[in-house]
Amino acid sequence: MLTGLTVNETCYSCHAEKRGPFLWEHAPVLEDCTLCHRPHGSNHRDLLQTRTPMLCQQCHLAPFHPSAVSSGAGVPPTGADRQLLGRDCMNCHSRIHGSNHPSGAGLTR
Amino acid sequence: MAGARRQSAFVPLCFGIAATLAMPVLHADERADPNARENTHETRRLIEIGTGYVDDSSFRFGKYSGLTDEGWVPLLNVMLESRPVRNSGETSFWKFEGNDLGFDSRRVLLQWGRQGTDELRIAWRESPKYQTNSGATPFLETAPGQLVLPDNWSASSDLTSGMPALTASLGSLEIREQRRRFELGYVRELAQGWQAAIDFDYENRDGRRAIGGMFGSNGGNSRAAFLPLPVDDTTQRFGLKVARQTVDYLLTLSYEASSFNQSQNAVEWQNPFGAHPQWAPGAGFRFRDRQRDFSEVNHTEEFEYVAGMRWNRSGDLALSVDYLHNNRNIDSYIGNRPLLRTRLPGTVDAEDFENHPLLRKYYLAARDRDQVRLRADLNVGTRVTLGWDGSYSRDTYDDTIFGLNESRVRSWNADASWSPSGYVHTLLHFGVDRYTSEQAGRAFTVSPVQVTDPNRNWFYDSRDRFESAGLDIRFEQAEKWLGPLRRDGLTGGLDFVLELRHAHSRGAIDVATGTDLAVEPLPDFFTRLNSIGFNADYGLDEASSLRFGILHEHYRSADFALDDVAPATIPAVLTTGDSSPQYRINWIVFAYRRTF
Repeated sequence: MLTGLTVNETCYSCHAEKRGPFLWEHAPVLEDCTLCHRPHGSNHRDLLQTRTPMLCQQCHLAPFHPSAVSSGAGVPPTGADRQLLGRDCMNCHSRIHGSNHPSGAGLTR
Repeated sequence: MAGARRQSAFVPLCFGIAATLAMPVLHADERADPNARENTHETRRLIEIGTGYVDDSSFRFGKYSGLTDEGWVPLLNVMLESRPVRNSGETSFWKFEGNDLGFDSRRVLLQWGRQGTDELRIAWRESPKYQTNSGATPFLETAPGQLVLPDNWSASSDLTSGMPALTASLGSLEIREQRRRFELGYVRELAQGWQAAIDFDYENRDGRRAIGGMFGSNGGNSRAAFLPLPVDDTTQRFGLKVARQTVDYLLTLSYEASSFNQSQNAVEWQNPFGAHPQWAPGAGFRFRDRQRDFSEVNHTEEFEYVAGMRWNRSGDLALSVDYLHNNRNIDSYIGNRPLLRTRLPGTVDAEDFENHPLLRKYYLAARDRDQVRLRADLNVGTRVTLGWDGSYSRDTYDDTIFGLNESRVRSWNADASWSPSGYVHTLLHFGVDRYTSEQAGRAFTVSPVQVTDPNRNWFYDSRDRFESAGLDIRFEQAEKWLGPLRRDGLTGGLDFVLELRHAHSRGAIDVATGTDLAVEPLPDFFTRLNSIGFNADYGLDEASSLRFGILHEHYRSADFALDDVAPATIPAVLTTGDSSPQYRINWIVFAYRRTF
């Protein structure tokens, strides 16, 4: 049983900064938090449904880095793939829930 | 930092002690006419005071409790309650409760009301989130939101390898947040089946959070640095609700309003990288016109069918089966519709696209979902219970070529309890959850050949597996069968609990590709927690007891995204060099508990 009327309303009671409104919105964020998050537990950071960048690439398959394949070749000592290490895609797209910056269309600032 | 946290614990500690001392005042009316109230109300008052000791420092162990530092911490729990005696005709009640008042995670609650009529609730909660203290950063915070690099910082290139002063400039980094929340709520029964509620929450959050700060303007020339982002925000929420509930339906009309304010509206930071040849002088800027109302799919419909059955044989055996089928239909998926609708006419062709034309975003794609759940409970006599539940869920995206093709969740849990006597209770549980998903894509640039080349296809097969197990053994009134203790003069009541816990998660991703791409296997990632705890309560008399507890917990984890990644490992991203948490902790607690 949810304490709020919707999944998102329940989540916003503790994560109000994700509610928006944003100048640049990330469409699935508005629709349902559980599209990307497993609220009851996960072995991925931030309770994500699956590892990023794999999760991101389920919706983003554009030329160059969004469609690039990530593998063990990008993990030390073999390599250092910035889409796979640290906070992976969110190394740059850190405002993934939405941005109010005038040039935040890519959710990077 | 530890000193500051202990100081902040002082206020609720004093609050709890003051409340305990105020108990005679709260019951002043009882003294005035003790018989009158004793006949209509029963009171319970409990205080537990003690101390605990952590034998090592670990942010991961104290992530949500605040027990991050080696040393002693005060322990205080308070509960005062007055409830009407059954059939007394009285309805008024009140309750004061303070939990973990010596910890960073603490709560104070005050309730007052009349049963079946109304209830007032006031609460104060604090909860920390300790993320890491093992990272490092060259940034210095000279003023709130002002992150600067050391004076001797230089960058000879646009990569982390071109930062000669990096190693000498790294300072330790602590990422943690603290929430403080005030809650006020009032509920009133208006009439039979009608209820109104009003509530207000105020929450403040401060501390630091790590985020990536990006430089550059596109994926080819972007550089990023992890920044210790100062957090200081407040949320206020107001809710008003009227509900009508009958046996057949529940109708709720509510109004919700919330405001979010952050005092840190901007963060400025210096660029630790040297200039990239593609960077324009000044700062990169990109503007894209996008109307969020326009999507690849204009209209979706979901149909859901649910069926279930319950079977109960004279209270000993209960079975349940549930099935769900959900079908999501879409009108048409036009992958480049957002691109075409958000560009000026003439600037894009009808065939232009951003995402590959064969991609179907999983939350917009046609999907079939099937779920089955089974549950069985068996009572063997009065002393043994057995339970088992299993579930299977499968999502298939038959029209999807690139994107998420299929995902499955399989889980089962078993539990058993055994009470060989009225004084010994055991509980055993074990569970396994498995999440799997399959997705596909194609690596391409702007080359038309690559866009259509199946040899550039890739496939991810992700598998996450979770196991958890636990054993609790509870002995009540152990003094009755521990004869030697009685002979040594321990005449009070003795209860103790032994707890064993095991939790393990493992994730694996298999990567396969066409012949034009080369890949290597990805390492697995895991977390493992094992703990053993022992708690004993020794009753000194009917109103007071001593509590002793010891917990040994061992946690290990590995994650390729963190391990062996030094601050300068990624050429284009300056990270904090944090690593997967590991700890081995002993937690000991002594407390004295008294009821009035």
